[in-house]
Amino acid sequence: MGKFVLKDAYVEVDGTDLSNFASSVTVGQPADEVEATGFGSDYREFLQGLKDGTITVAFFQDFDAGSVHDTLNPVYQSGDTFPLVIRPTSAAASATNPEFQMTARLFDYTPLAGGVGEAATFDAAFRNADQTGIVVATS
Amino acid sequence: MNTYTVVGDKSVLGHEPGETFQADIPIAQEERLIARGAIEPGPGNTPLADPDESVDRSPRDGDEEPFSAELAERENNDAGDDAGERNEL
Repeated sequence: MGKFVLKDAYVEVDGTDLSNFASSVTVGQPADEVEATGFGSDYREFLQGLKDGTITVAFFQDFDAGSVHDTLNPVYQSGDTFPLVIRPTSAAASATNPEFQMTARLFDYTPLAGGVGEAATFDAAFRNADQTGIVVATS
Repeated sequence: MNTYTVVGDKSVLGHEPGETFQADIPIAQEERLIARGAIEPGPGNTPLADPDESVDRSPRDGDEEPFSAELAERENNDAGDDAGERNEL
């Protein structure tokens, strides 16, 4: 694939394609750094601990039926889990267009934010809600 | 698999508006998609178990044993045996 510019990222929340309402996406999967330094070493030694998953998406808000608010508010209110799918482009998943899948929960939802003359935007941080974490699919 | 039609103006699970497709959608997600007017279920669809409901429900340490006639009978027999042992002492 080579270097590329994000122009056509795919964002699917709870089955609905919201790509047109998203302006940035970050797939974060940090792992805990667990120190395991013993006596006799000049350097600290770290092990990889538990992994975490957070996918952050910046959205333009839309209150139309079936759109952004209609998709995010119910899963925020209920606390239910839901599937989240992200791809670098809208093309089908492949080795060069990997699909990041996560069973998510939404713990914070800001339905309205912005100043005068600005577009109503907000960031949604989708948190991992499943032991499988972020799965990378290539087909 | 169940049949659904995309009736909203946004793609659902990779299927374009107006498209009819087959998928196994968990109940909770199906309800939300229908509630927000994204899909319509086809006739004769059968509900699919929610993933959250399909977790292992077998008893774990600390759980109370489920009541059963067989279990009650065994406990009665054990109690009788204990009483007999105590009488012997």
